[in-house]
Amino acid sequence: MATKVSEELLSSIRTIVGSEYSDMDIMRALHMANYNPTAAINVIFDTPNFKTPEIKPITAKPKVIVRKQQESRPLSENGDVSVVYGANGAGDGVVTDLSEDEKRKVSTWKGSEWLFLGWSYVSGMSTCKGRKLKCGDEVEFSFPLKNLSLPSKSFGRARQSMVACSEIVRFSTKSGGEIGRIPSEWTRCLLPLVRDKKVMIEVFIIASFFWVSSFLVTELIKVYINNSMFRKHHQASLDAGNSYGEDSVFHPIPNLFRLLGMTPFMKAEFTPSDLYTRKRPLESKVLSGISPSLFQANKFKNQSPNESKVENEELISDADLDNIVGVGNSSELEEMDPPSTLQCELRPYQKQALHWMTHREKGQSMDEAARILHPCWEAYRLADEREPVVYLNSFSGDATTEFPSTLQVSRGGILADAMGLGKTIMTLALLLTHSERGTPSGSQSQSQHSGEAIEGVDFSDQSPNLPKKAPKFSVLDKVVKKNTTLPRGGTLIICPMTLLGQWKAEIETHAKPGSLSLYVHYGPGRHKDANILAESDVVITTYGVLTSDFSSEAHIIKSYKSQISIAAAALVADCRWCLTGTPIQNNLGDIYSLLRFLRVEPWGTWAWWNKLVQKPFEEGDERGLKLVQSILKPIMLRRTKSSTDREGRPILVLPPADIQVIYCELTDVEKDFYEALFKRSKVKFDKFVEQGRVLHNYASILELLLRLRQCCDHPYLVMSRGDTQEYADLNKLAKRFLKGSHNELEGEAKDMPSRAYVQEVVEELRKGEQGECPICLEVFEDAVLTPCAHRLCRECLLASWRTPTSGLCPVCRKAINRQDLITAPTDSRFTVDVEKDWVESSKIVVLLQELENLRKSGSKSIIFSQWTAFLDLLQIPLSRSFRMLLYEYFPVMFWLNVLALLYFIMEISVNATLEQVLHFFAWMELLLSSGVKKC
Amino acid sequence: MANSNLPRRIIKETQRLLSEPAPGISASPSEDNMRYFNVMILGPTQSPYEGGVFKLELFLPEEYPMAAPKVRFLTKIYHPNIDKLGRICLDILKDKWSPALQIRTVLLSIQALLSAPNPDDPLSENIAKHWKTNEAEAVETAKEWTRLYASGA
Repeated sequence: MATKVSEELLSSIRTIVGSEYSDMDIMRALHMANYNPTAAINVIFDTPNFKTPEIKPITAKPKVIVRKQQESRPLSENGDVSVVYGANGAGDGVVTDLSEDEKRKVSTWKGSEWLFLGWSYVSGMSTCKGRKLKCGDEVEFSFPLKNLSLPSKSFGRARQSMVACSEIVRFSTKSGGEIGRIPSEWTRCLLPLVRDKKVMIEVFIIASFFWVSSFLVTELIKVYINNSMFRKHHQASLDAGNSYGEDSVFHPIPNLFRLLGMTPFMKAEFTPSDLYTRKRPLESKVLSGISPSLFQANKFKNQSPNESKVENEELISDADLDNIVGVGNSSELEEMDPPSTLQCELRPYQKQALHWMTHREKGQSMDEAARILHPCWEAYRLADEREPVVYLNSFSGDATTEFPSTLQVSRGGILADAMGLGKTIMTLALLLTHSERGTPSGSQSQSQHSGEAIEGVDFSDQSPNLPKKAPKFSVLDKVVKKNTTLPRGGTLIICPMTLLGQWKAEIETHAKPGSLSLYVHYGPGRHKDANILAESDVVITTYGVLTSDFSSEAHIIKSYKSQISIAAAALVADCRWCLTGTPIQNNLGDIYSLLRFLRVEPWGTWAWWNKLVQKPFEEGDERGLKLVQSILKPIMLRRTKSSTDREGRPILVLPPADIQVIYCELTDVEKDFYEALFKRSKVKFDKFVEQGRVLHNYASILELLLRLRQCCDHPYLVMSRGDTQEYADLNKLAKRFLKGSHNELEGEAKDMPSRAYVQEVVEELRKGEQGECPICLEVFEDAVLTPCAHRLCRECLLASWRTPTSGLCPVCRKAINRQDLITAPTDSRFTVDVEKDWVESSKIVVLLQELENLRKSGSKSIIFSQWTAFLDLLQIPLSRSFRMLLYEYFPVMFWLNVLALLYFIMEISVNATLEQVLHFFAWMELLLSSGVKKC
Repeated sequence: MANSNLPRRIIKETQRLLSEPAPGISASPSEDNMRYFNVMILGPTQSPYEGGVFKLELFLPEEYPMAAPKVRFLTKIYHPNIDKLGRICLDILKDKWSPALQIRTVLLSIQALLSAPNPDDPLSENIAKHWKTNEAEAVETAKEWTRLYASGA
C-alpha cells in the first residue's frame, strides 16, 4: 500500500478535493477506488460526509476496531449474520433504548459499502422456555439455506412444503442457544435479501418478559443495505424476459421499508395501495354494456392460458371494444396545421390528432422531464448519517440511488381511431412535422398489431445509459448504436406484410418528394448493413423481419406472448406509437402488449397487469375495467365514425353507401347450359352420396358448386375441356412457329427450330406437361415461348438479359427480341377462343349498362370479382367500349392495396356489419383519390 | 449467414447433384458454405487421364445463375487448357455462360474437356506447344502426371 500511495499523490488529490480531507480519508478513497486517483476523487465527492468518520469522537474508536473485525469476517456461507453490538447490560424486563448518538455511531460502522437503512423493534416469539435472557445479549439469526428446506424433523413439526418466503428464521444467543423465531412478516422480507447479501442486520435483545406461557422477546433490529444492490438496479432492465417472468407482486424491499416505518419524502403518484383501494364506489353502468359472452370468452381463455392464439377465438365486437377502452370525447383538442411537405389536406379531426401526437411526443421538455420523479417511484431518506436518498419502485421492487426521472417514460401513445379515419396519414403528418423541424427526437417506429395495430418506436438515442445488454438485434441493434453518432434517428415502421405497400404508397404519394427518405427493409435482398437503415428517415419493415433480425433470446420466453410482441417491446426507442383500429382484438391481454411496448409503467410488468387488471376483469370485477380506462385515457386517442366535433357534427361525413342488388335474368341458352351443368353436378354428387363419401369429397363438391356459380357469371368460365376448340390457341401457335420455320427455309437462319421440334413442344403444351424453367428450376410461372421454341419464366428470361428489350436465348444462345416472345398457352384459362367467339352473358350485359350509367354521371368504377378469370373475360367487352385500366398493368404496390381490399371483402363476407361496409367505402374513396388516379 | 439466403435454385441443384450424380462426377457442398463445392471428376476412359481422380473446387458467386460459377482444379494436371494454378480455359465459364447451364453441365463440360484437349485455344502455352509438336509424348506426360498426382492416394 505504501508503495502505491505516495505523498505526492495524496497532495495532488488534496488540491482538488480540498484541505479538509485527511490523509486517511484520501487513502480510504483510493482504496475504495482501486488506487485510481480520478475515481478516488469521485468517491470523495460522491459520498456525502465522506470525511466524517475520521473526526468522530475518540469514544467511537473501539467500535471502529470492532468494525474491522466484522469486515474481515465475511458473511458466513450459510448466510448467518452475527450480531456485534453489545449494549450495556440491563436487567430483565427493562427496556433500554439507545441514545440517538449511539445509533448514529452504529450506523457508520459498516463503511461505505453498507448503508444504514433504519431500525425497528421486533417482537420475537420464544420457542423455548426457561432461558435466561439478558438485555443487550447478542442475537444470531439463522436463515434457512437457499434451496434447502431446513431439516424440520428435529423439531418434530410436520412442515408443509411452504413457499420460500414463509420459511422460519430462528434466533439464538451465543450463550443460551436457540430462543425463538421472528414474526413471519419480517421473515418474508429479510430472508431473500439476506440470502442474496443485499441486506445485513444487527439484532440485540432489549427486553424479554413472560406473556401467557411463553416469552416475548423484544429485539432491536438494525438493517443495513448493501450499496451494490442499487448499482445493480439502476439500469432499468430491458430484458423483456424479466419483466413478466416474475409472477409475484411481492417485493421484499418495499416491505422492509414499510416494516422499518420509513416514509417517503417524495410520494409516488402511483402506488400499489392506490390500486388496492376498495373504498371507491363503483359505477356499474360501464360494465353493463358489455355482453356476458365477453367474460365467458375470457374465462374460457383463462383455462388455457398458455395456448397461443386460437384461430376461432371470439373476436371482440366493436361495441364491446368501445365499452372497454372508452371513446374519449376529443372534440376539444386543438388543431395543428401539417407542414407544407404534406401534400394533401387534413380534415379537422386529423389536425387534432397531429396536435395531440406532437404534444404526446414532446411530453415535458427534456430538462423538465429530467427533474420530475417517475410516477412509480418514491424517494426515501435513509437513517444512515450520510443521509443518502434511495428511490424505490413499489411495483417492481427495484431500488436505486439514481434519480428515476420521467425521462425513462417513453413518449408516444396509442392512436386508436376507427378504421378508415386516416391513421396512416396522421402519422405521416407527424413524421413530416419532425423532419421539417429537424428535432433531435427524430421519429418513431410503428408496427401493426395483428391486423391493424401500428406501433411506433423511436430509434433516436437520447439516454446515455442505454442498457448494454439489450437483446441482440442483428441489424436493428446496430441501428440503435449507430444513431448515437447520427444527428437524428430514423423512424421504424413495423406493419404486416399486406400493409407494407400501403405505407410505401402513402408516403410516396403524400410526402413532398425529397422530404423523407424511405427504405423498405424487407425481402431476401434486404440490406444487412445497419448504416443504410440508419440513413433513411423512414424504414418500413414487417413483423416477420423484426422477429427474424431479432435473434433467439425471445425463444426462451413463455409462449403465451408472441415473439413479435417481445421483439417490438425490446426495441430501443425514444417515441413509440401504436396505430390500431382495434386496440383489443381478442382479449384484454392485447392491451398489455401495447402497454408493454409503450413502456407504460407499471403495466409493462405482467404480474401487476394480471393482478390488477386482467384477473379482476375476467372475474367480472369492474375495477379492472375502470383501471384500464384510466390507464388508457391519457395515452390513447380514439375516435370513431360517430365521433362529433365541437359543434356536434360528425367528424367524418361520408356519402351514404348505396348498396343495390341487381338481379339478372339468364337467357334461355344460359339457362339450358346451367341446367345441363346442374344435372351433371347432381349426378356426381349423388354418386358421392351413394358411395357414402360425401365428407371425403367435400372439396370436389365445393368445386361443383363453384362451377355453378361461375356459370352464372359467364358460361365460358366453365366451358368443358372436351370442347372442340380446345386447342385453338395451340394450333394458332403451331401455325405461327411453322410459318416462322417456313420463312427460314427461304432465308438462312439455320438455328430456327425444326418442324419436328416445334411439333414436340406444341404436343407437350397440349398435353399440359408442366416442365420446369431451365433458369429457376421451378414450375413455369408466366411462361413465355421464344421464337426458338424454348420455354422459360418471363421474369427469369428477362433477368438474364443485359438490356430490357433483347438478348440471347439462354438455352440456344439465339438472339431474340422481347416482342417476339409468345405467352405460352398454359397461361390462357379458356378453352374456347373467347375473343373471336365473344358472347356477352346476361350478367355482363347488365354490368356494362351500369358502367355506362356511372360513366354518364361522371363516376369512376372499380370492378371486383372473386375470380380473376372473370376479370380476364371482362377485358374483352370493356376494352371495346371503355377507357379501362387493365388490372394487370397496375404497379405492384397497387396490387398490395387490392390484396388488402380483397382481404377486407373476405372479412365482410364472414363478418359483415353495415359499419364495416361503410369503412370499406371510405377506404375505396381514399384509393380512388390517391393511387388509382395516378396510374 | 451466407447459407440462410441460399436461392432455391442452388438448393435444388445441390439436391439433384447429391441424389442423382452424373457418372464419374461427384460434387458436394461444403458444410460451412453452401455455395462452395468440393468436386471430384474421374478421368474419362480412353484419355490420358484415365484412372485418375481429379479434385476441383467450385464456387457459386452471389450473382449465380446470372454469372458463371468459378471452378479450379486442385489436383495437378497436364492439360493444354488448364494452367498450373488449376485454372480452366472453357468458354462457358467465361463469355459463353448462360443461366440455363448448371453445376452439372459445367462439370460434364470439364469432363469432356479432359477427353478432348484443345491445344488451339490454350491456357498453358508450353503444354499446348508440346501437344502440337509431339502429341504422343505429351499424352505420355499427361499419363505420368495422372499416375503421380491423381492416383487417388
